[in-house]
Amino acid sequence: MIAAVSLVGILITLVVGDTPGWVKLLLLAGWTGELAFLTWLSLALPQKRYLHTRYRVDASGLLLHRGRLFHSELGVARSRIQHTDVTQGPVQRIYGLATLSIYTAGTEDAQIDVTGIAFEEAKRLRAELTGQADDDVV
Amino acid sequence: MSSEWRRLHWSSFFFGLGPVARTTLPLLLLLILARDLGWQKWLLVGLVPSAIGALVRLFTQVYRFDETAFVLQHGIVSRNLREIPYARIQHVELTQGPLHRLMSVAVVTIQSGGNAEQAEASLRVLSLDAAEDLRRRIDARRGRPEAAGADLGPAVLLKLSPRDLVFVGLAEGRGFLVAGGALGLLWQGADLLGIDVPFGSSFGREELRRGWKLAASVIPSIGMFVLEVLAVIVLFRLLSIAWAAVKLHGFTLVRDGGILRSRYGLVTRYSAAIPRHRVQMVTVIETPILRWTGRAAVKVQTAARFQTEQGRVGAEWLAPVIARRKLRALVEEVFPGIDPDALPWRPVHPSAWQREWRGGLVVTALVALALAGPFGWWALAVVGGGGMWAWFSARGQARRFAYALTPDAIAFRSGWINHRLSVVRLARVQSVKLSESFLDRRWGMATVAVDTAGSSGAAHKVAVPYLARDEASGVFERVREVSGT
Repeated sequence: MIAAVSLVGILITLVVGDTPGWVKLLLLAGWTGELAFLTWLSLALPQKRYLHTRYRVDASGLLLHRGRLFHSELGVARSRIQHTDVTQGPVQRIYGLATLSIYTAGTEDAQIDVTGIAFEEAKRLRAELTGQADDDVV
Repeated sequence: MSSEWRRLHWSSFFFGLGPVARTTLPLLLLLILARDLGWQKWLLVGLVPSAIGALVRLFTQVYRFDETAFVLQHGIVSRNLREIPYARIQHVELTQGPLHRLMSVAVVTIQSGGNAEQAEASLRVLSLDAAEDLRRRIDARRGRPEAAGADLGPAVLLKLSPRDLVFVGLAEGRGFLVAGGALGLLWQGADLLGIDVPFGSSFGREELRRGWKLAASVIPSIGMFVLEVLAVIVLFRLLSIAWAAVKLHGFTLVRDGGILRSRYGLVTRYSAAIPRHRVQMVTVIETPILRWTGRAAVKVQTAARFQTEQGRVGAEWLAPVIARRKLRALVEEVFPGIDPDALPWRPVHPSAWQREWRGGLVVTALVALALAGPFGWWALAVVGGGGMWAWFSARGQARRFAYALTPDAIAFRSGWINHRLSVVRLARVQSVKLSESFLDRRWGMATVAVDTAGSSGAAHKVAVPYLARDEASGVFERVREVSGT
């Protein structure tokens, strides 16, 4: 998307206006580099994200580790879970994957998504986390 | 058992038109203007349902009190029945504009749930009697055994005098708000009269230079310049005092069973109910002026989100100003057992100031670069002064950063000029997060933040930066453990 938009912008500069030749070349080179970077990003980033995502359920509740450059550890207690969603997109369905969304009454992390886990695993995880008497925690 | 349906006040037709007009007026205007349009005008028909919907809603809105829930209904063809369990209601608020007061009616908003973007219900308008009756009924029914302090008798906790409001105005510095509007008008007027105002609409380098020269010619000496700056500061503070005097006129905070009620306002009167057991976070603010005069300000976040649009921010004040020695008693009202003056503070990482300083240096460098254009070598002075200030500020800031863990609460303080201190009870923590950026990793630090309900728009949150990595893990685990039980 970004690449397409910037390409349009560059093409307009190339066709209209009286920009010198070397500027045109520089622009084209820059766009090629951008395209390469974006391709790498869209291919490598999900993999990186997957490799650095870990989760665990223990006595206190869910523990979710995410990221490397910006690493974070998120802890949600069982009693704080308001409700949960297990969703499957079309692509996820082909591979039998799902996203488990956990909702708390919080603000910044009101929705916590665990993406790219097996559908069965998502349901198991949900059963493990919920299934307790619901009391008012707000 | 369900009680009978109740209708809104008859003047709702008039007051309810506000929201209706928002959808119908553009439609009518467009229809009139669209006479010259061809088939395109039929696209406007799409707007008709929303306008009709708003009108129908206005005429069919009714409510009743069931055994366990407050019930609202509107609509004829498609009927909307909303049940709000009393136990989930966080907040009932009455608002009166000048016109409402004339008719002795009020807009009633009911908020529930931590994540409601909007109020769950808004009744526009009820007669004052009906509104008070509604609030009493809801308060009576949502009362739960855990509602701390329900056995306490009514008492006036705080009553602000005009003198107190002067301090609020001084401390809040809202003069910029008032002056900003006035300045905008001034520039507009000057443009119309053809007067050349420096630093006006266009803000190019040339204008900056011209403006500087103009300033230099107008200001005969440094002394005059200082005087002018002082005059502007005094003017802004005076405007701010006027803002506080109008906005917070007659501020009173009353304890009524388990609920704290605040009332204030000269032109528009506000009244808010803060259930004690719904308070998520308490923030104590001490700006220099408040500190030097032995005062402080207190804000609370409750589970319901406050609208942050101008004019509604007030609902979160527990005390716009209070004598420092009475602070402990006030905090005790909402967070029993927590003494803001006796928290076991622990400092952050000893190298925190270095990171703060580096951040300040980066900002200084950027500012200097931006100023190098119009002012040339003078920008170097900015680097020197800014660097020194950044060092000074970083030392102060790092000394001020601290957190405290008690058996049932976590507190965080920051701000070396404007002191802020926030306390969250662990039983109200929704989730806890430890973040470690690549910079944190290099310094062996991490940030621990707790998430609570309704903290959006909070000026200060419990998010402790620059913690030593091991200590951060300890705090994270501790909060995680306790918050779940």
